[in-house]
Amino acid sequence: MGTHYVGSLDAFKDKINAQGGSSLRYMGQRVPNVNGRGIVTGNVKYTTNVKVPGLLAAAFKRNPNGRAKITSVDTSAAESMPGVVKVLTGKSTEVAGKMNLGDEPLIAENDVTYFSQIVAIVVAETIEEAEDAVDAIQVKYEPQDSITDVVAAADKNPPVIVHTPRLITPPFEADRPNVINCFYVKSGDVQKGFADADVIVESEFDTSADPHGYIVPTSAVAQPHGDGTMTVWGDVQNIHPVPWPTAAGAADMPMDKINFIGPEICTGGFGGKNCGVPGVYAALLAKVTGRPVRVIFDDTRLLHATRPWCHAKVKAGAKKDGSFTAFEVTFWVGTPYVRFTMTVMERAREAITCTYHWGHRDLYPRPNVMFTAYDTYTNLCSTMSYRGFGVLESQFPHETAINMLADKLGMDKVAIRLKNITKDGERSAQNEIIRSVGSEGVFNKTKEMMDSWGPKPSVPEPWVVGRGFSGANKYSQGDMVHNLIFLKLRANGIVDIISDSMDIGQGMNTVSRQIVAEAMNVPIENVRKVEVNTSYVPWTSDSFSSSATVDMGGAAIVAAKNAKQQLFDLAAPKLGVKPDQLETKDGKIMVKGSPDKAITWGDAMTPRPHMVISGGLNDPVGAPNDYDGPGKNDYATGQALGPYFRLVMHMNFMANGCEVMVNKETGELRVTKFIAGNDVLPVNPTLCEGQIIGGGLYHGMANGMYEDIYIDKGAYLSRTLLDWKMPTILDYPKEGDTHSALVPVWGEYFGENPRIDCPFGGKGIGEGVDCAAVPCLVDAIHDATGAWITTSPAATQAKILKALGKA
Amino acid sequence: MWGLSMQKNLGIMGRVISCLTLVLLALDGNNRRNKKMSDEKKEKTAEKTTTGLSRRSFITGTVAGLVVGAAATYGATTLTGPTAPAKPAGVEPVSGKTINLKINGKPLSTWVNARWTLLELIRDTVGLVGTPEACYYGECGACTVLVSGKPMLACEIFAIETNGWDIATIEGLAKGDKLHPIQESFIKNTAFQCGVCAPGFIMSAKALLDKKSSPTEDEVREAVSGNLCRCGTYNVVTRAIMNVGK
Ligand code: FES
Ligand code: FES
Repeated sequence: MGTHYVGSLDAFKDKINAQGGSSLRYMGQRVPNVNGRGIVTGNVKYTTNVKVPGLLAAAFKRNPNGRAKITSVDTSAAESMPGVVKVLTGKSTEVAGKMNLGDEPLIAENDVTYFSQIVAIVVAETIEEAEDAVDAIQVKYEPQDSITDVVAAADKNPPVIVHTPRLITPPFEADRPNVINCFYVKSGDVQKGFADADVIVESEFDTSADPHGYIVPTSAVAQPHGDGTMTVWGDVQNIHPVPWPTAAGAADMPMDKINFIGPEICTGGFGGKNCGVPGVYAALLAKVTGRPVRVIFDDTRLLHATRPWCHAKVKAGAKKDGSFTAFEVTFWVGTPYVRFTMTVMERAREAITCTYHWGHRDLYPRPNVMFTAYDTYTNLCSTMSYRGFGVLESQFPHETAINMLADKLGMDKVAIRLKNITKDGERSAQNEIIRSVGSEGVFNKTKEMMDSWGPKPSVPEPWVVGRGFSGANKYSQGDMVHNLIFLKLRANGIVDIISDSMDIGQGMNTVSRQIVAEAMNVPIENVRKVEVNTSYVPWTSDSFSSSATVDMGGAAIVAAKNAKQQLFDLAAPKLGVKPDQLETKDGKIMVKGSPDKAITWGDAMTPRPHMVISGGLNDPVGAPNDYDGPGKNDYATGQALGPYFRLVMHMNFMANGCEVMVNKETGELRVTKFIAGNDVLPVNPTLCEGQIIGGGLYHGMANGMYEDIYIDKGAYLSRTLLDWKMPTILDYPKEGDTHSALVPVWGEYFGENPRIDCPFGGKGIGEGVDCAAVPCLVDAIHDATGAWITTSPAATQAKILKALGKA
Repeated sequence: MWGLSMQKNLGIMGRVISCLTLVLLALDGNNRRNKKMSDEKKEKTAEKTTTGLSRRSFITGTVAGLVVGAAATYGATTLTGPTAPAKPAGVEPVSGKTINLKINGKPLSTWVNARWTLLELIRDTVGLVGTPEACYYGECGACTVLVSGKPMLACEIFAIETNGWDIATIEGLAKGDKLHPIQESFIKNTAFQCGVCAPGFIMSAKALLDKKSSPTEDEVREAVSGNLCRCGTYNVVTRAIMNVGK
C-alpha cells in the first residue's frame, strides 16, 4: 500500500471547539462516504436517470469546420421525417438574437466560429428519429481562414478578426481587435531585478486545450407544467449562479418560474459542468414544444468545452545563492466566445504572485513582477473552467522556470523554493496579504517521503530514470455573498441540511454531514441532506474553485451556533438555568457539569415538531465580512486595494514529486512513483486523499502525458476518449506507488479587516495537485534525459522524441 | 493494431467492440496506448466522426441483417417502460422483435426495437438504471454487464441480439439487504468518487474473482483495464478488489 501521511489535528482541537466543534468527533475522521451503498448498488439519483412521461429527445447538427460562413441550411427533408416535432436553426424566431453567457448565439446563424458549434437542432419523439432527422439536414458552408495561433490573434494587425464588435472594449490596448481584455501586474522594479541577477532563464510554454473527460456527458431534462412554470434537471456542479439563470434566459421565462434541480451526485464535473449548457437547450426546447425534452451532448463529446489554449513567455532571474530577483511573464489565451476566460487570466495572476516572493525580501522593498495577459478571440474550441482557472496554464511555466533556475545554479529544487516562499502575513506582488501558508511544511514532508525512496533504481538501456519536484498553489474563490444555509432540527434529534452544496464526487454529501454533526454534536446518522434545487433550497456554495467545503462549512457553523442558541433559549426556563449554562449532545440539552439535568430537543421545542434555523457568513445582510468589498484591484497594476487587500478567499499550497522511466530510443515514459502533498486540515482524510491522488495526480498525469489534441484549420481531429488516449489503470502507477501527504495548517482567508478563519480551519483541496503534476513530470524527464519539455501535454512519445532530437 | 490491443486491454469485451465496424473505422490505427496517428489516419478519423454518421444511424444499417425474420410491428410488444414510444400517427412501424432472456435470474419476454442497445433495454424498458448510461461509445466500460459470467459492454450490444442470453447487472449482486463482498469492499475502501464508474468496475471484478479468488495486482489491473474512471480512483479500486472478503 502506498504511504498516506496525515498530520495530527490535536493542535487545532481548541480552535475547532471555539468555533462550536465537538472535540474532533467527526472533524478529521475517516467517515465512510454516505453515498457508498447507493453507488455500489446503482441507486444514486443521477440526472441521466431522470425520466418523465412523454419525454422528447433532441439531437444537434454541429459545425464540422473551423471558422466558416453558413451559406444555406436546408431542413425541409428533416421536418417531414417520422417523429419529428420541431426543427430549429439560427433563423428560427424562437432563438433569433438570443445569446448564452454573453456573446455566444444559442444557434449559429450566418457564421460559425468554432468546430462543433451548433447550427441546427431537431426535437423528436425518440432519439433515433431525432438523429435521423439531423442527418437529413443539409448545411452548406464556405470555410474561412481560422486563426488558431493565440499570439498572432492578439496582434494589432491579426490575420483574422474573429468577432466584430467585441463583447468588451478593454480600457487598454484597444487597438488589438481580437483582444477581449487584458490583465496586468506591475510590482517593484523588474529591470533592476534582471540587472542584478546572476542567472536568468527565458522560455516559452504552450498548454493545449484539454477536455474534462467526464465519462458521462453533460445532460438535462426540462419539463414544462402547462401553467407557465417548468422543472429542469441538470447534471451540473452548481445550480444557482449559472445553470438556473441561463436556462431561464433561453426559455424567456422569469427565473422564479423555473425550478432547477441538481443530481444527488454530479457525474464528475472537473469544471466542465459549471454552466450546464444542456439545461439551456432543454429549457428552450421544452418551452418551444410545450413538452418535456431530454438533452444529452453525446456527439463529438469531448469538445464542447476544454481548458483554453494558452501560450506563455517567461523570464526569471536569481542571485547565485538562489534568491529570486525578478519574474516577467506574458500570457495569451484563446477562445471563440468569452465564456469564463477572463477569470482564467485573473487567476493565473494569483497563481504567479502568491507562492514565492519574486524579488527576495532581503534585497528589495517589493517583489519584482511584471505580468501581462491577453484574453483573445480565436477559432479554437469552446472553453470552460477545468480544475483551476488559469492555474495549470500558469503554474506549469512558473514552477518549471524555478526548476530551470535551480538547475542552472546547481541548487536543490526544494531548497531554492524554501528560500523564496512567501511567508504568512506578507504582501504578494499583487499587494494581497497572504495568510495560512503551508508551503514549507508540505515541501519538506514531500521531500522527506521522496528521500525514503532511496537511490534511483538501475534500469536496462535505453531506459533512464529521473525524479522531479514541483510546488504549486491553488486559489479558492468562494461566494460569501450568497452564503446561506438552513438547518431543520427535528424533535427527535435529526438535522436536515437544506443547502445547494453539490456533491460532484468530492464527497460534499459526506463532508457537509460531518461538519454539521460536529457542530451540533449529533451522530452523523442523524444528519441528512435534502435534494438540491432552486425552489426552496438557499444558495450556500458552488462546487467549483475548491471552495465548497469552506463556503458550506462557514454557513453551517453560523447556522449551528444560531440553532444551539435557540434551543438553549427554549430549554433554559424549562431546566431552571440560564441559556449559557447549557450544552447539547445527541439530541439532548443538558446543564454543563450535570448531565442528568437534561431534556430532549423535542421537550425544548414542544409543541413545535421542528425548527428551521438559518445561518451564513453574510447573514444577516450587511454583516461586516460582506464579500462585495474584497476582490477589488487597480486595473493597470493589478494591485489589491484596501481595506481588505484580499483578491481570493484563500489558497492551498502543494508539492508533487515523481519518479519516471524514459526510453531514450522510443520516447516512452512510465511514471513509477508519484506523490502529492497538500497543506490542509482535512475534514475527512480519506476523501482528501481521493481528491489529491485521483483528481490531482491522475488528472495531472492525464493532462501532462496523454490527451494531446490534433487540430487542422480549426477542425478538431481528436474527438473521443479513445482518440484522445485518456490513461487507463494500466498507464497509472500501481497502488503501492501512489502516495499522499496531508500536512495540516489552520485555514484563514487572505487579507484583513476583518481576518476570517476558515470553518474548523479547513481549506480547499485537490485541484492544485493536478497543476503541480505537469511541471513535476517535466522536471523528472529533464532529470532523466537533460531535455526540457515546454508543452503540456508534455510527455507524449512524439514530444519526448522531439526534445531528445530524435524526431 | 487497434483491434488487437483493445482485445488485450478489454479482455473479453474487446470481442464485442471489435464487431462494431464504426468504432473500428473511426479509430483504426489509433491505439489508446500512446501511439501517434498518421496524418492520413487523422483525416480518416475526421471524416468518419465529424458529421452525419451518428452511431444510431450506423446501427440501422448494420442491424438490417440481424432483423431478418423479426416481428416488424409494435403489435407483439410487452414494452411497459416509461419511455415506451407511442406509435406516432401515420408513421411506418419500426422493425423489432420479441426476445426472451434472463436478467438477474428473472426471465423476461419483451419486444425490442431493432435499434436499441442492450443498455437501452436494461435501463429504459426494464428500468434497471444502475448500469450507467455513460460514454455510449464502448470507450469507458461503465456499462459493463455479465453475459453468462463474461463482462460485456451493454452500450455496444444490440438488444435484439440477446435472445436467450443470461445477463447479470449491478442490481443482481446483493441478496436482499446483504451486499456482495465486492460491494462491501468498494465501500470499505471508498473505491469511488462520483461513483458512476463503480458498477462497471464491480462487474468486471466479479467476472475476474469468479474465475480466480485471489488474483495478483497485475491480474486485477488487466481485468479492469477496460474501465475508465475520470475521478482517478484506480489505486483504491485495485485495493478494493485485492481485499474482497478481507
Ligand atoms: S457507456 Fe458503454 S462503454 Fe461507456
Ligand atoms: S468515480 Fe467518477 S468516474 Fe470513477
